[in-house]
Amino acid sequence: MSYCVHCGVELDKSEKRCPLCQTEVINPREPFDEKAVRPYPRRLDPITRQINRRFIGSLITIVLAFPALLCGAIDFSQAGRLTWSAYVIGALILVWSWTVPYYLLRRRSLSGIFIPGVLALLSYLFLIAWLQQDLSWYLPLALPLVLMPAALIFLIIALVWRRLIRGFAIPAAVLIAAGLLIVAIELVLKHAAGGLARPTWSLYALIPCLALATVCLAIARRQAVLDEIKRRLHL
Amino acid sequence: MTAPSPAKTWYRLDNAAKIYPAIMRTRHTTVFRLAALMREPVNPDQLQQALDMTMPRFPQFAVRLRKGIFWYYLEACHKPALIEEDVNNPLRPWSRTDAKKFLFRVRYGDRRISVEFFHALTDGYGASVFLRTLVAAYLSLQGVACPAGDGILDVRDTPTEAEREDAYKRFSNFKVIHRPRETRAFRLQGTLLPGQQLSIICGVCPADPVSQAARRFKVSVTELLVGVYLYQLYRIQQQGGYHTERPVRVSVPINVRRFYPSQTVRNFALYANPGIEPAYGSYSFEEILGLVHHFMRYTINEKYLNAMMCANVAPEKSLLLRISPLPIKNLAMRLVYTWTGESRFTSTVSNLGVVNLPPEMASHVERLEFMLGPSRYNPVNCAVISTNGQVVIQFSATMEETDPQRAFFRHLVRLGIPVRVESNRDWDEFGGK
Repeated sequence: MSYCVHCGVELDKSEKRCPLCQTEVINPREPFDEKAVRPYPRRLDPITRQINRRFIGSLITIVLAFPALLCGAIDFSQAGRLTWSAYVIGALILVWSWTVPYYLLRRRSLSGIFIPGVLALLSYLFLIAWLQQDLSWYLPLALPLVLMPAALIFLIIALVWRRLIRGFAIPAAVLIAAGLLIVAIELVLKHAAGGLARPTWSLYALIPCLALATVCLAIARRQAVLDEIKRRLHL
Repeated sequence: MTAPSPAKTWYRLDNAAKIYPAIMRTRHTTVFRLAALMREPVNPDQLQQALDMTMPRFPQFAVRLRKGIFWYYLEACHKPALIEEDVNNPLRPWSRTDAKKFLFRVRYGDRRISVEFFHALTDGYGASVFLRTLVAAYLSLQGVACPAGDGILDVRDTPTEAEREDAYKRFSNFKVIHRPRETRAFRLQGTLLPGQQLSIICGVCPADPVSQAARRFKVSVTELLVGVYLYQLYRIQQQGGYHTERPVRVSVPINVRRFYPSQTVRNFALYANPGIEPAYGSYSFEEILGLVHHFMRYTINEKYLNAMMCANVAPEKSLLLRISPLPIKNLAMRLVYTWTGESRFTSTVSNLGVVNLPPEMASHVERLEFMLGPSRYNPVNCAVISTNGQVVIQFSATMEETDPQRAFFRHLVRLGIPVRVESNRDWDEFGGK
């Protein structure tokens, strides 16, 4: 019989380490026996999730389809074609494209959910511009104002998802991205208005963002400060 | 003797059982397990035969869970109950496909016969009666006759109505409806194990040193174990960077059959939550043991328990609640459980006590084991059972860290109680490290 030198408990023959403290069993008289009968088998019982995700996806589809069809039918019966209901149907399709793929896709990925969602948003804005018969704002304003934040959000989520950034580096990345985005928005707005494309007011937002990001990055490099913050603020 | 009753096709859930289907989640299975570790390897064919012989004696267990408009109910299921192989991560919750089957599983391992029960069906005592009757039937097929009585039913007898009564309804007298208010308790935190895994650490102690230690402190064995666990949880709270002023409480299920002449094998248990208030100052082990001892003596008596029972049964009698549709009831029960249930204690210590085995069975059964399923908020639970002069303490956890288990067993060793530990840890999984 072997005892854990750390905990003082006797260990079963099947234990290579103490299950309580992970201390390795070193007993020259009775070395660990790989063939010792284990108290529990290795086979895992697969646990099926209680929530049927595909069912939820189907349910959301039905809930969204019902008002879309109703509005379309009323509008068509009155006007003979789709007029105002196109806005409602487009908005419902937009909601569907952001929610349902999460439940329907078997292998969920960031690009599989996020990119179709952004494309749906661009399509909806194009639909509005087309219905209003005014495409002048779509290319210079709508397209960059959707694509720029989408690209930054996608980049940050991908970095976090792949664990390339963690801890306080995440708020630092968010602050840098927010500062840069504000500058880019000002440039786009000025360019669309036909003015000089030079940043002015957005610099007042960029500088504190960068300063705070620097603080976050400094904290991220100091493990002791991080531990203290985690200890004081953990939920 | 109670007269045999005609076969029923459906059953109402008893008072305690009503909440379990509503609160069941992947990480809160509301399933518990009792196992008999035999001295010889288990013969699966004979175990299946024994189960076929035992099932007619327990018609209240041959049921499946169904949804009504207003309540869940148990519907008689006439499919054969099949045994399953044991697994590394028992206590799986009942899924949609499982819902068409029985609400219990019988598993066999190398030398182990185990039964896993959905808590809506029965409590620890009812499960121990079923397991002992099943093991007796199994041994009878091997030519070992085990006498019925003392928790073993004769499989040839006819089931009685008294065995399947809702004892809560029968014994609550409604003189007082009293439930003490409790604040939110300290909650253990740690790294959650991946979804399918369950950490099982089992400590086996000889019964004599445990009872001697309890006598030394002038407390019962349950009070000693609860006191040790509370003290170690308190130390973890004080040293581990938690909110140090939250009360530390441990939920202790109480078998109410001690106080009422009930033969039911359905749920008939209540809970006491002994604990300490770290905000009042620092506590020594002896102080905590004294608090647990007096709290248990104050709580565990017929009158106090009846008041608790009435508080549980009273909402069930409310007309408004009864006419609410099941989805609304489920939502309400989940909310009530979140506010007043699991958040009010840090962990559970369920002591089934000494489970007697007749000598004929004791010579073939090394020990019995008892295990609780994982909870949603409290990642570590502890279950205790004593048989054949051994106290078996099983921790089941969904947390990777083993601080509470380690501290608990080390304390027992310091009290002079030898502990032998085994686990379900697969060391090869960690690269043989």
